Amino acid sequence: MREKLESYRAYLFLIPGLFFLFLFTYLPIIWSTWLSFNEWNLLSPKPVFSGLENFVKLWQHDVFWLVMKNSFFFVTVSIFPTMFLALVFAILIDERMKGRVYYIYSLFYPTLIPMAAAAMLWVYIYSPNLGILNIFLAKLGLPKLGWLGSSQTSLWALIIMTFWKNLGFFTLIYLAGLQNVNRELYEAAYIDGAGWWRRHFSITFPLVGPTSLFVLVVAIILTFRVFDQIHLMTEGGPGNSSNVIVYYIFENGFKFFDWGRASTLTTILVLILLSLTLIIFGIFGKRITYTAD
Amino acid sequence: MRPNKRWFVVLSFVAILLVLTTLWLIPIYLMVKISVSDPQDILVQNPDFFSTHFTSRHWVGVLAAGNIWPPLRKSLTVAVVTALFSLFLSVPGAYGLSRIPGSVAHVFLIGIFLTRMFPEVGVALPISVTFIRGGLFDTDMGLILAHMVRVLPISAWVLVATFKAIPQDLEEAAFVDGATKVRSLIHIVLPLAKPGIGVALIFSFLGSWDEFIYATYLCLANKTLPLMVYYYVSRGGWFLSSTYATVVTIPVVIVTYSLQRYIRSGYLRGAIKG
Repeated sequence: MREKLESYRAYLFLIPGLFFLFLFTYLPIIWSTWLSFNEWNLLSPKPVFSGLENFVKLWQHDVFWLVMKNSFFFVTVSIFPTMFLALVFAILIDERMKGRVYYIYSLFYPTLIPMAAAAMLWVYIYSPNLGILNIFLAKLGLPKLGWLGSSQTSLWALIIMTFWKNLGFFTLIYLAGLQNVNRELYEAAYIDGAGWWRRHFSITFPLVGPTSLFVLVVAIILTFRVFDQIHLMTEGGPGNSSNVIVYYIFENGFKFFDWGRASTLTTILVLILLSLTLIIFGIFGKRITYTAD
Repeated sequence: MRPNKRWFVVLSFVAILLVLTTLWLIPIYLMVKISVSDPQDILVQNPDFFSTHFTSRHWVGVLAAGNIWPPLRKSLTVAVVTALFSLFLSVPGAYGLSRIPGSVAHVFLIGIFLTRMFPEVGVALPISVTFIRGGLFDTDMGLILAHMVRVLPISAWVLVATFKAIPQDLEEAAFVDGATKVRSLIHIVLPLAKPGIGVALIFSFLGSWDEFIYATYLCLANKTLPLMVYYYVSRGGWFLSSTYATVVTIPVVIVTYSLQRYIRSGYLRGAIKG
């Protein structure tokens, strides 16, 4: 009886936070989902229920498909190198060499600095005449690139910048994951004569499985939601070449004032993220059950 | 492993790490460099990597013109108040979550995690519309509430892991001595949870300091610092924008440095398992 009373009191602690979340997060989410089935734009200034019309219209819209292609491209091209390198650097940093703090901070600071500052830096780095990238290319005798200004390279430029900004974050998560790996396993393997590669290949890689799963899901969500750098650096251009789904939501909602369509895109993105998460946990979640505690 | 071979391995690790970290540091070096360089070193075809002519006039100009103080004040106020307010909600919330049955807590945590799937741009629209109607447009309070929407889930996430790591036996001992739940939270759990609270505070401060979308919608005359950086970048003034960008980065360095003993990767460890 006493225990029940205690846990009932524990629920009381949740109320203020949940109230806030409900009011400012869940309610807007519900409203936005409802709006995705409404026509609401400059021509129809009050939301009018229109069923699946928004979805059908998007389906027939070329820009929508370009945006989806860009988003999926952005995600697939950026997360796997990020995850792989983050794991490699976490393993290297975990070797406990001198300068550990220096390595961590140099990799992690891009995550901490405000996106506005980071975007300013990279606009400079990518600038066709002054930027160091083109100077570097010129020194190698290669042709200069248009970077942000060219529809061939703009998406790549944003991917590289995002890679720079996120690598440290994921390295830190892997570093935390590595602390969960039992050190005695390495010692045992070392005594059995396993070399450095062998130890990491047979112990580290399998045992960071749960961390990788977490990183993969977080990376997918984070990368699908990229917005700030696109707004700051290219505004989706030139010619929609770097337009991705969240920027497209912004464009529809705040430039074309088509709030119905913006909500529809939000719903589509959430459906994509939900299904990817479920698929990933469905495939790998059950298999990776062991932890090294 | 033979000793000489081991030396070779260690050296190559150090070399790889040094090369990468140096590459990673180039952007911030450039930012600070431009803000203190004479235009003759920057605005030329193929400028050199190292400047030779330095000047303080971009900094003096930015600080003397006075345009920077209102946004700086606004950003600092909003970030500090956001961090404190969200602790006010997330500390009891996370404590509650760590003390209810695991399966129920799991449902709540998933509920919080799911909100991260919604793009801020999508949620920002209804929130901004409501705030504008409610007279919160262009006020500090409006932005603080909006930033709490962004920061609260992250803060709660970090704190649940922290509180879970604190053994309940300690509290039960306090209950036996007649302490109430609130008292045990304040006198026993909170002091032990300081490192985690420190991390939550850093994340909340940075989350607000960095924020851009809500600021775009909810600010008109009183802009935040990131909006000012954007303004100067979009006008193409390298010296002003790099100076502003450096200014916006400095508090991040200070906050992170002063609270760095709390950011040991150990604290993220719980978050992964949780």
